[in-house]
Amino acid sequence: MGNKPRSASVLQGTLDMLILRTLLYGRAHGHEIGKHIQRTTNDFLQMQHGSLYPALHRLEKKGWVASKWETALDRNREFKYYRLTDKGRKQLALEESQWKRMTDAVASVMWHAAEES
Amino acid sequence: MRWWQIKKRNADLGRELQSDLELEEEEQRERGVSSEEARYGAQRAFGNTLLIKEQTLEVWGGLWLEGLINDIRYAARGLRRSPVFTSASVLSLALGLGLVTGIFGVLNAVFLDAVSALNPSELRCVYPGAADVSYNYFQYLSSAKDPLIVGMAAYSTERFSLRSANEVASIAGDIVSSNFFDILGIEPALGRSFLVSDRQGDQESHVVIISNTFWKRKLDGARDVLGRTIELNRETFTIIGVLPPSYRSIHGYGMSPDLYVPLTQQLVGGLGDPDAGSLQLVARVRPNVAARQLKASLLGIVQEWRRRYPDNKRYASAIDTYPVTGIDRLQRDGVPIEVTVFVGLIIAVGIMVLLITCANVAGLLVARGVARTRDTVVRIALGAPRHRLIQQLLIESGLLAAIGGCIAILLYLAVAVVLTHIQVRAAVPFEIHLHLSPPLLYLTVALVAVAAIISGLVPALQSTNGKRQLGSNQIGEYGPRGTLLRRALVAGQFALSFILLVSAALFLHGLAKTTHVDPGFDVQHVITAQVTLDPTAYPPEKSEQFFDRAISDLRRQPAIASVSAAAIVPLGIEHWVMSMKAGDRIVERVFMNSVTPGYFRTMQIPIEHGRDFQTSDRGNGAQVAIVNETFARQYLHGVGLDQLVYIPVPGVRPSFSAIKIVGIAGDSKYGSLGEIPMPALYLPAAQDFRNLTLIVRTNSTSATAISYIRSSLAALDPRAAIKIELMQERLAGALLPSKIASTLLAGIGLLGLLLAVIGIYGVMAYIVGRRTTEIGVRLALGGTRRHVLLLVLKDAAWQLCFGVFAGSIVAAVVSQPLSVALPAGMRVLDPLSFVGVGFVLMGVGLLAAMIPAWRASRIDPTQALRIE
Repeated sequence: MGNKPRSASVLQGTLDMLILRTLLYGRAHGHEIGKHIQRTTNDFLQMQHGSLYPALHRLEKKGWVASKWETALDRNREFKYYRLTDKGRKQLALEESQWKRMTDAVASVMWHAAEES
Repeated sequence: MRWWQIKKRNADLGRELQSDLELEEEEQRERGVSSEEARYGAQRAFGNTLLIKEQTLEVWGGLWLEGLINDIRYAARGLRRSPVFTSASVLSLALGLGLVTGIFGVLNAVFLDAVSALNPSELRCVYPGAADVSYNYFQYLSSAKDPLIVGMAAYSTERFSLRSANEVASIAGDIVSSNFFDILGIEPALGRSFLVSDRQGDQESHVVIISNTFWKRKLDGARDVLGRTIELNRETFTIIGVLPPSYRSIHGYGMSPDLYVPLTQQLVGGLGDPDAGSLQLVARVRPNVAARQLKASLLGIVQEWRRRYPDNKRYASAIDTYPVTGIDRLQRDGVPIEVTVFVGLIIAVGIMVLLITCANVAGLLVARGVARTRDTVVRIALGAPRHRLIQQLLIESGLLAAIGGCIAILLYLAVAVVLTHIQVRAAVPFEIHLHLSPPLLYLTVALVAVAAIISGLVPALQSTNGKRQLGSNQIGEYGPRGTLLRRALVAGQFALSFILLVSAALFLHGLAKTTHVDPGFDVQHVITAQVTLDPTAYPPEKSEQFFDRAISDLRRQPAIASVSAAAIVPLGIEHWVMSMKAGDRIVERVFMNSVTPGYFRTMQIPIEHGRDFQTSDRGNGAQVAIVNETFARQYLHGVGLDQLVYIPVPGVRPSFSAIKIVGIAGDSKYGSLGEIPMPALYLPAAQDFRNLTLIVRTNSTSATAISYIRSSLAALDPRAAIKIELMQERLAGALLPSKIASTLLAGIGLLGLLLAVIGIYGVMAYIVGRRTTEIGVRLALGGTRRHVLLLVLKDAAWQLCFGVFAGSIVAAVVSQPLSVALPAGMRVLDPLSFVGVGFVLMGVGLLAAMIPAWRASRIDPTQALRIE
């Protein structure tokens, strides 16, 4: 499914961060979050609903996001909207810095290796 | 998490997914896809919504609960759909569980019955030295006011003659100090407890508190019973209270005296001797006093008595206390080895029956599992985790066991209601109150869990074995592990049945042996008449005169061949055993009796040498005795006559009195029919007077003789309590406990056998069912029906042989402790029992296998091959 060229499934452990980052812009429901991640990465990251919803509920259980049934602005229908909580905001900052350190570390190894060969 | 929370979350998630799904669909439509296509497209994009839901809910935890509830629903549905399987399993589990619950319930009620008292843990039995406590000593101990003790009460079981309209009955009652019920903290259900004004020594206040059973049986449960009078030992007693029906006496072991009267000096020992008596003491101790502390404190009081009365050596300077109930008391009182063995055996037997039922249910479950192989294999292929499948199968067996357990408890409660209304008229009335106490309930619940696991785990592991492939259960599959397992289970069942039946057979064989043992005296024509005389009206001399006159009166009756009296009737409940010196040797355990002249003639025990007692052997003459042959042979070098034996004389300074042997009588049985020949010694009643039982030999029908005995004794004293029994009845009574034990064991053994037979029938029917095609092919290729029949029977015979073989080895080992309960000279490895049981098991097992075997031989080859 995710092994088509120019597309990949979301890296293990980064989905939570991506969701939190998406919610930084404001409330969103599950479908929007999925679509947003897919669109922002130019369809490189394929969102699977099978991991999206468990992830949302996991975040809700941890108290990083809160959910509420609200009417959509563009459609006269209720959706379950997720919002970032204060705890979630802190968590996002933490994960962001960790991710940055991680990518830096990986990059430095890769750069270094490329230079040697 | 609550069930409704899960439900709500489930609905919420459903709504969330649905709304997002619809949105996706709308978006697709907006892009110009046809509405039909859009719906499918949206579903494709979402994937398996059910799986998403499940995975999402899993985040919240508590899913296992939902799974569990679903599994229980599924299992219940499955069980409902196969009522035969379900009822067979539930019933056999109910029998097994009910049996074990019942066994533990009865044992608990008999041996560890709670004593009715407030905070029974604060009560301690007080046991000074080795002697029974006299009235004076009790007064001394209770007035010493030990600071650790709140109060001390005394009690003693005595026999009373109760006179009613037309008969005098001998009943058991407790004489208790007036504070007895206060120390226990028990109030009568009707009326009042004893007051201090009913106290010791006050002759005016003759009051009595009666047991609930006595009230209901003898007084028809009359509401106006308080204030009525009854006549006990020729005195009038006013009923002042009725104990509650749940009252359990302090004696424990189901002993339930009929009534309670306040302690008076006159009643203790019947003689007004303050130094006589056989009181037992119970004390209420202050909370949180350790046993050792209490003992040390009491010891001081006991030693003070020794200092005050240095001449009175009756009480050693030792004292001990122990709890009024529980294991400690049981250890203190000691349990006869025969009883211990029987209790152990009954528990083992109950557990074995439970195991057999578990094996049966396991066998049925394996068959079900094999029948559902396709179902299971598909589930595994679709990704069901193995633990979920095992969980589901265990839930199925758990459900069976739980229903079985509920039925078992209902059965137990039904038995409890019946048993509570039964009172056994022993020396002291015996009542058993079965309760469903919390520990017993926990035990049953634990047994249910164990039964569920034993019967469910093996089939569950076996049928979910991952190695099975889709389609492996096709044509002619025979001999997979399911079959092997079922065979092993059946062999195990038969091994257990073998052990059960061998134990039962040993007991029955032993019983048959004892029933045919010659007791050494005549049983046919002997009648015993137990006379209870009121001790206050009959001091020993008068009592002796009474018996002399009774004997001479009866002797004149034409229907009576000979009359005598003895202190002990052989093979009864009472025993009198002493040790003594003969020559230079100590003789342990000599059965004693005190008899009047003519006893040996009446009982038809031969006098081999010397002479019988004569009327001249009186108190002032030379002390004489008669011993039996075993005594003479073992301790008197076979000669015996005119030799001396030395009998210890109880008293302040222990001494021995020399007694000359004037006769040697034939051996007979004294304590039990199964005993080896024991030494016995008879004293003339005139030299050692005790309360006697008349022994009468008739030469006409017993009915005429009995009416003669009754009228003659009534003429002598109309108030004497008389209990007339045929010697045959007494003997039957003596055999009753072993008869009950053997019948019980045999019944349980047969139950086990029945279950095992159902087991082998089931497994053979199942195997034949699985082999239908194969047998069809055999028949089509020219195999004869006889051949098929033998094929199946041989198969069954192997399992049986294996079971019987394993069972006989185990039985030979585990039945060794039974030897103490078997009659003398019978070995545990009794070939008759072992071989007999082996044959019975083989025969019954083959008979059970016969039906499926016959059915197999009737298989129509064309039909059989068409099935596939």
